[in-house]
Formats: sequence, C-alpha cells, structure tokens
Amino acid sequence: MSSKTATIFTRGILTENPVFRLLLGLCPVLAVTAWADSAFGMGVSTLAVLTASNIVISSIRKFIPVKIRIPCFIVVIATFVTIVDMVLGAYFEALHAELGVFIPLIVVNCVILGRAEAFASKNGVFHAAVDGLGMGLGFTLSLTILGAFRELLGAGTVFGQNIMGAAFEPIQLFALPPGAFIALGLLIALVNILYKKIGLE
Amino acid sequence: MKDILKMALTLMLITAASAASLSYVHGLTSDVVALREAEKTRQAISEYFPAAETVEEETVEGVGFKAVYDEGGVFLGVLAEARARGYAGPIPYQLVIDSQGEIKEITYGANEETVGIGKQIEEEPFVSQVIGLTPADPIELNTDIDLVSGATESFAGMARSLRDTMDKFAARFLDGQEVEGS
Amino acid sequence: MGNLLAIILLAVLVDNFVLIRFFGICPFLGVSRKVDTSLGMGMAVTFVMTMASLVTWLIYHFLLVPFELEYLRTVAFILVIASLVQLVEMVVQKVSPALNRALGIFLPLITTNCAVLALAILNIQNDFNLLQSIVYAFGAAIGFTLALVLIAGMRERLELVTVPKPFRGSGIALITAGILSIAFMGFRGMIAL
Repeated sequence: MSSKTATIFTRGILTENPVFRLLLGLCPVLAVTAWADSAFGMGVSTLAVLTASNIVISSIRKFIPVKIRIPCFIVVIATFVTIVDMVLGAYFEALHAELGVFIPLIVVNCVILGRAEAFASKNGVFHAAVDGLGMGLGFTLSLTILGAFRELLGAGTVFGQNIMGAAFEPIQLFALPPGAFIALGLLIALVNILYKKIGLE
Repeated sequence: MKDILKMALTLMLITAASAASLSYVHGLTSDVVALREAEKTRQAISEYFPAAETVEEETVEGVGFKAVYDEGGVFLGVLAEARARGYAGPIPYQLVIDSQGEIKEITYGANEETVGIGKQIEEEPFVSQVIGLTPADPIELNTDIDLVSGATESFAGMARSLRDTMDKFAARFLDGQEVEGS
Repeated sequence: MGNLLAIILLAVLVDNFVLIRFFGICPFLGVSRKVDTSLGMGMAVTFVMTMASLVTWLIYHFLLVPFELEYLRTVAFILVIASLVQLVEMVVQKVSPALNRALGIFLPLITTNCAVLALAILNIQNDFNLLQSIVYAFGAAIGFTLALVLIAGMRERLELVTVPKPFRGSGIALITAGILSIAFMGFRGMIAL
C-alpha cells in the first residue's frame, strides 16, 4: 500500500472521522444507536452504500456534466440504498425491522453525498474505493462505539451480553432519545481530550 | 441547446440504469420475501394446527384471516393479520387464534416504536398477557392488560386493535357458539 | 378537524422531528448558532416540506402504486425533492430578492436534510390521506423550526459562559439538545392518533 493510499484510508477513521470530528450524518448516529448491534448494522449498510457509490461515481465522473452532477450522484446513491434495503429485507429481517425508516434515509446521509462531491468526483476509481472504505469504517466504528456505550449504560449489556452484572440498575435515559444526544456529546468531548493527548489536533 | 440535451440525456440514462438494476434486484429479493412469508405461515399452521388440510383466506374490514380446516372440514382456528396504531405509525402484528377464540401466539412486523418504551409491546409481560385472551375477555388497559408508564399510545393502540380483531374474529368464526369462560 | 389538530400537535410537540425522532440533525447543529438564521432555515424548510409532501404523495399514489413500482420509492422521492428545491430556488431568485436574501443560502442545504425525505416516507407508512399528509408536513416543519430556534437561543447564551474546553462547540450543543429532549419527553402520552 502506497503512503497516499494509506493516508486516504486512515483519514476517515482518525483525523477526519465523520462522526466524532466532522459531525456529519448524525441522524442515524443518534437514532439507531440504542443497541450496539443495530448501530453496527447501520454502520455496515452505510459502508456498503458509500463504497459502491464512490466506485460508480468515480468511474462515470468524466461523462457527467458539472451542472447536473448532484442529481446524478443522488440517483446513484439512492439506487444502492434501495438495493441494500431490499437485501436486508430479504435476508436480515430482524435488522431491517429495527432500522426501519432509517434505511431509506441513508440516501440523505451527508457523509455519502459529501464524499461523492469532495472526493469520488475528482479521483480515480481505486482511490475512491479506498476513501469509501475508510470513511465507511470510521462511520461504522463510531456508531458501534456509541451504540455499545448507550447499551452498556441503558441496559447493562453490550451486543446483548450482560457486562454490568445483576446488581446494576440500568440508566434507562440512555436508551431513550435524550440519552442519544447526551451520550454523543460526552463521547465527542472524550475524543477531543484523547486527540489532544496524542497530538492529532 | 446542445448542452441541455446532453444533460437531460445523461440524467435519463443514469435513471434508466438505476431503474433497471433495481427491478432486477427486486425480482430476486421479493421471491425470497414471499417464500419466507409462506414458510412462516406453513410453520405456524403445522405447529398449532397439525391436523390442517385446507386454508381459506379472507379479509374482514382490513383484518386478514387465514382460516384453517381439517380433513373433515372442521374449523381449527385462524392466523390473523392486523395493524395497530402505535406511537410512531402502524404496528403490524399476527395472531394465531384457535377454534375456541383463544390467542395462542402474537408476532410483530416492522414498526417504529421507541426502543425501551413502546417496543415493550414486544416483550414480557405484555406478550404473555395477550396469549390466552379470548373474545369474552375485556381486553382493556388496567384490567387485563397492564400499562407501562410512558408507553400509553403503544399499549392503548395495541389493546384497541386486539379488541377489534377479536370482535371481527368472533363475528365471523364464532357465530352462535358459546364462548367458554364468558 | 379534531383529527387534523391532533396531527399538528403530535408533529410539533409529542413527536418532535428533531428532538425525539432525530430527523434533520445536520442543519440543527450547523445553523443553530443564531436565532435569526434559525428562523430563516425554519421558514425555508417549512415551505419545502409542505410542497414536498404534496408532490411525493401524488407521485406515490398516482404513479408508483398503479404501476406496482413501490420499490422505486426512495429514488423517486429524492429526485422529486432535489428538483423541487432547485425549482423553489430559481423561483425565489426571480420573484423576490428580499426572500432570496433571507432563504437563499439555506435552500441548497435542504436537499440533504433528511427531515424532508423522512416526512415523505412517514406519510406513506402512516397511511395518511393528502390533507393529513400536508397538515403533518406543516406540523413537522413547525416542530423543526421550534427546536432550531429554542436551541439557538440557548447557544447564544452559551457563548457568554465558560464551557470546559473539550465540550466547546458541538459537545455542549448536543448535551443542551439532550436536556431539551428530556423536556419534550414530557409531552408523551398527551395525544394518540
């Protein structure tokens, strides 16, 4: 892996992490992270759409007139989102039911259109794919961390495994909508402190 | 002019490609979904009505019934499909009801109820309170169905819809029969 | 009529789009620093949402359902919303320079505001008729504006106090939103459809 490829890949996970650093695509981040497994499922679905749409948009970028690039990007993204929606509905029924309306809403996740506009429409297919994977992984990782954090406090479990023991009384607030805002606020502050410590600021 | 033509053509091409690939994937996945639904029905029937021979489908004012009969045409029970109004949109659910009108099983379809609040309709104690209900029961909040605080809409919606489904079931299938326990 | 009023109250308070359902969070954090920009964004969203719910409802029930193309819903809706936003932008530019100054910079952001697409989909899922859809859209947009303005008011105050460094900016805004969301949870149980 050349150093440029490596930079593109790690950027999405660390320095330009879409959730903790750029605060992009927060609707699903807040809505489906009451449990670690639905958060992870949403992360992987977004990763798939992001990588696929980055590849397609990069490969057709030379044929698209600049003026109508946004509608074109949106159609490509919406196509992959619908495919993910149908595949989840057919093979992962429980996850499909849990994510509900937030699956079609992947279309308007600003991370995806943002990467299409800022990166895929200006770079080659390989780098666009790497960028999609990196950003997608960064997104998945952040969602899973937030989901695990909320599930741990809100139910005493992580991925359904009891961690806190029987004596722990769950703080139900963290499973509810207000808990999503508060947990994300806390984690962002924590990430700010961590980044300062290791000098990534 | 040429520019506009090119733009329209490009957008149309992309949309057409999108529609084509989606209808292809839809063809594949809708079969899987249909098969899975059929399999679920078959399993529910073989679990609760092992003597089943024929199944007749009908709809009574928005509630779907699959009536199950044995070899001799004796009525065994139904699989009912209905939608309750929850806190955040519809809650589709399925019931298995035996020939005496007793609810044997409840399962839910995709809904948007809030995790930790409304979603408790899918958990205990609600599920075991529903199982065993008959049309003769009141099916009311705070009598035979406990309300979970904060989740009034979801539980009230379910109770209303269950009452309605049981009434339609009783009117259609229990006509003239004595309901036990009434 | 009572039903329509219930839908509005539900959308504005009980089921607030931003604070309870998490739709439209990006503009919520992005433009909620000042009360007047929040109002501008809220007005633009109200306009587009009401229009979008009208058009998407018609397209779904008169185009997609008759041809059994329901699975093209997401693609069709987002295309409609994107074109609608573009159209509104052009019309506003031509017709009213004043309105353009007020709303102009917010309009392009609305295409990727998930509240608009969410609303179009929820209208279908809730089996709303045309009138109910439009009323729900209006209510949801008012709820969005309300949340935005409330948060902006609080953030203007937050500028004047010393916030611990790691929480500055988004961190404290999110926690404030969380507390506001707790307040909105108090409306639960007020209305059932």
